[in-house]
Formats: sequence, structure tokens, C-alpha cells
Amino acid sequence: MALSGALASLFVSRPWPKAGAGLMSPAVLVANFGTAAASSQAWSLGQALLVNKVVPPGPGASLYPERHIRSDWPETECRSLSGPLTDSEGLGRSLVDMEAYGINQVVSRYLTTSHLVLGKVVLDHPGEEDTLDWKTLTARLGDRYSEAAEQFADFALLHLDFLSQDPRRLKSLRVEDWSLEEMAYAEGQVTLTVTQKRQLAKALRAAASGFEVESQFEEKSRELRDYLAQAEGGTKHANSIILQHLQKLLPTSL
Amino acid sequence: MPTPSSCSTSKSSCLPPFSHLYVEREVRDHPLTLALTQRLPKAEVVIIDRYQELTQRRSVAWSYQKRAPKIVVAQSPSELLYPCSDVAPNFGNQNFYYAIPMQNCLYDCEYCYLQGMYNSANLVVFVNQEQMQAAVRAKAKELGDLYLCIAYDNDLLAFEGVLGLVGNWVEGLRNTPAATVEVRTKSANFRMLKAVPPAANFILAWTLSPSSVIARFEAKTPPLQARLESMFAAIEAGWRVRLCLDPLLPVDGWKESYQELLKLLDQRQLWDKLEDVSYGAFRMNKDYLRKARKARPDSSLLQAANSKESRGLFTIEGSQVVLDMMSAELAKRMPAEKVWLT
Repeated sequence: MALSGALASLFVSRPWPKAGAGLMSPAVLVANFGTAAASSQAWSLGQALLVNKVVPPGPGASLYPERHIRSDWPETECRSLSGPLTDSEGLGRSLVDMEAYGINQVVSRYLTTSHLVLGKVVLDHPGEEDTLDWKTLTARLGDRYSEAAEQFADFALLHLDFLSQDPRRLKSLRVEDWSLEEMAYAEGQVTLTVTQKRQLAKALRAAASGFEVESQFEEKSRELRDYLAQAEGGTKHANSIILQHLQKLLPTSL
Repeated sequence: MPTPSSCSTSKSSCLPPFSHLYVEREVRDHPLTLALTQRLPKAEVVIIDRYQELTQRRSVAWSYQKRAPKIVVAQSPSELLYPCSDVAPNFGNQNFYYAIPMQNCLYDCEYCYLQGMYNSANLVVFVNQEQMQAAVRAKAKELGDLYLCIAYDNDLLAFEGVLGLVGNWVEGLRNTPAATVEVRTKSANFRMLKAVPPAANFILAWTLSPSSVIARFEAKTPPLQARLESMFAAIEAGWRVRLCLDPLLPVDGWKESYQELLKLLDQRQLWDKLEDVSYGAFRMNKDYLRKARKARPDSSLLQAANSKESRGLFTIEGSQVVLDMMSAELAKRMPAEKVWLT
């Protein structure tokens, strides 16, 4: 029966956002590689495959890991079952394993369908496990498993690159970082109410999203900080005037 | 800073658009499904139970999908015609409906409301086109007249080379004069309709923007000149053609940009050949805007939409001046009854 090892590549440097954060999700890829069973009519032993659909063990909707990167490996669905399968009847071209659905469910809860890749190598055909021991099963694959694991790791790295280096993602993160930095600086210089903080955060983000080149971030930071250095707050009225001026320094024009 | 259209992962590593066809089990043998699989022989076919399994989950990333969308083939839900909201222009028609032959669009416009409407950027093609057309015929008969838009939630003409759905609708409703059908597009794809004789009850509506706006905010769309040529080809072929200047955006140098566009249209002596013209500002409701900003956190345009207009929709400060200018300019060129503010 299928035995899998899970490989998770984590590059987390930011607070974990809410589920389904899309582009703002951490640059994480959950890469699951292991073995699975398949009908001998469909796939031969040692065949490496990518999974594009994961069928639950019981009732429930299937899950679909999003494919973004090319691969020579064929694709198929994988049925996650709670126990071994004794024959291939009705299996068609599906793989069978015991954990893909669980992994996929967790990834869908915290990330997106774009953040998971599943690769499998056919280890056995249903029913064989009764007659063959584990050592015999794995010995039959020879070097095929480790070769496939290396290919899968390369594939997973390309997929990770696709996610983490997305130009819109990089710009979004820069806008977010800059806005947070300037917000923190402003809060150190002037006392703002919750509503005022919200207004300033909005204005910072709106202005930053219009910056096309890195120097614009730097210039605007200088301008804001120069103003804050000489601004005199203290009273509610004075703080409010400072906020208004900061908002004026943050144009939202297109 | 990376440009929005660049791809750091080498292009040869990324899957192309339409690499996968997700097909509902019940429609796997439908002629339209077979036509699609024939048209896209390299696409990986994945059998699904219900299209909502893919499109209605929160855990999909719009932007990643948008880079190379996949196609979902499905049976449309039981409701086939929807009444239009007053945010959309009814062009003086009381019985204003829309149908969704396809969900989502090949293009990637920064201001598009679809990114606030749907979770998934993958295209959903519905196979029951004939059933939708029958519903239109029945509704037109019931009401006496019907104004229908079939390309609000998609750009059907842009997809014409893949499936020919516009041609299918034209033939399906050509003999239903009580139904007037608008097909809105930004495509330069009229050539795909050349073999279809014009239908008196169909209006092909082109959305045009200044080149600077296209370059900044309308990713993957054809350039202005190509759209114009397509539009003229349609006029010459005898189609009713509408011009849509929507959304008008208060970009830096907006006056010069829009004047330049109008001048180009003057030079081509377009105005008296048009069915009518519509124009409008960027507008989006609160929920769509919130979701669109999440799908596209880098968008300066969506971040700038902080003003509320009279209908309670969010718009961009400065839009009214652009609308006023366009209103005055259009009044010089077209009779008032042919100009629609949306």
C-alpha cells in the first residue's frame, strides 16, 4: 500500500495571513512526494506521476491542486482511502494512497490550491501487498524512486519560484512593507487615534501602490520623515493637522 | 521594480493558458466539450463532479490563475437569464437581462469587476448554450421585447477562435427580433465572425481607451489601433456597432489622452457610423472592491477608488471632471439620444 514521506519547503518571513490570502500568502510550497498503488492495466511499477485531483475517502468534494509548471510526468487523480485496496476493479487510471486528501485539505485551509504539488511513484498494484513484503516491494523499484524524487524536487523548486517571484506579489509585498514602516515611524512621532491610524494606513498604501520605481519609495519616505521631524503635535488639534498634511503628501492620483 | 507582465520563472517552465480542461462528468460527451478537446488536443482533461468545486472555493489564488487560466466545462445552473442591475447601462430598454455563456475573461484589466465577483480566474464555459438561447426566446415572447447582454462577465469575441460562441448566439437568435443582443468586447477578433452574416438584432460593442490607459491598465488586451480596425471591419460588414468609453479614468494627462483618442476617431469619421455611444467612470460596489483589492493588492487604481458616487458605488476622485469633459465632447459629435451615460 502507499507509503509517503512529506517534504515541506517553508520560507516564512512574514506574519501568517488569513486563509485564501492569495498573492499575500507566504512564499510557501507544500510538496508531497511518495508512493501509491495503481491498477496494473493503467500504470506500471515505478511510473512517476503528478496528481491533479484528489478524491476524498468518503463523501465530499474533490480537491484540485493547481498546476502551473510544465513537466514530462503524466498526470492523474489520486484517491485517498483509509485502508488497503484488495483489487483494481473500478480504479481506472486513479492512484490510491492514504494521505493526499488530508494534506490537500490542510493546504486549502491555510493557503491556496496553487501552493501544493503532489508527486507519486507507483509502488504496487492492489492486492499485491498480501503476497509481497515491504522489502520486496521497495527493491523492485531499484533507483527509480530516488531518481523520481530528484526530478520532483527540481519541479517543486520551479513551482516555488513561480509563486514567490510573481511580479505582482513582489510589488504588493514592497507596498505593504513600506506602508508598515512609514506607519510605525509616524506613530513614533505623533499620537493618532484608531480612526486616524486607519486613514493614514490607507493613504500610505494607496500612494505606494502607485510607485513604479524603487526610488519613489525612498523619496517619499524622506519627504514624510522630514515633515514629521519639524511638525509640532501634542494637542488633538495639532495631531489632526499633522495627519491632514501627511495625507496631502500622499497623492492617490493615477 | 518588476513590471506587472514580466515572469521571473522562465517562460518555458510555465504552463501555457488552457493547459487543463476541467470537465463536469455529466457533460464529458457533449458536442461542445468534444469540440473543445479537439481544439485543444494537448490540454490535460480532468473529470470533475461540479464546477463549483473549482470556482467557488475561497482557497484559490486569482492572480496566480490569471497568469495562465485553465478552462472549466460545465452545465449552467438552472437560472439561465438574470435581470441586470441599474449599475449597468440599459440603453433605454426596460426589459434588461444578461446571460452568462462563459464566466471570466482572457484579458487582465486592472479595473475589472470580475476579480471582485469570482474567486477563480479560470474560464468557465457552459455547454447549454442552446438552452440559454431558448430561455431568451421564451422571455422575449413573454415580455414582447428584451434587451440582453451576453458578454458582461466575459469577452466572448476574444474567445471566438477557440469555440465560436458569438457565431452560435447570432445564429440561435437571428430570427428572434424581439430580443436585442449586445456583445461587448475589447478584442480585435472580428475576423472570426466574418463568415457570419450580420444580424439586425445584434449590436457589437467595442470598449476603447487611450493607448496610455491600455498599456497601464488593460493587460493582455489588443492595442487601440487593432481594436479600431476590427470595429471598422464590423461596420463595413454591416453590423450595428456601439462605442463604449468606459471606464474613463482620471489618469495623469487624462485630458490630452482622451482628446487624442477622440481626435483619432474624428479622423476615421466614425461617429455617424455608430449605433450609439456609452461612457462612464470607474465604479464598483463595496464588496467587489474589497475582494478585488485582495486579488490584486498591487493595484494603484483599486487603491485609489475611495470616493463614493451618487449610487453609493466607489469611484476614483477626479472622475467627474473627466465625465464632464467627455459629455461635452460627445455632444459635439453625436445627437443626444445616441449618447448614454452609464
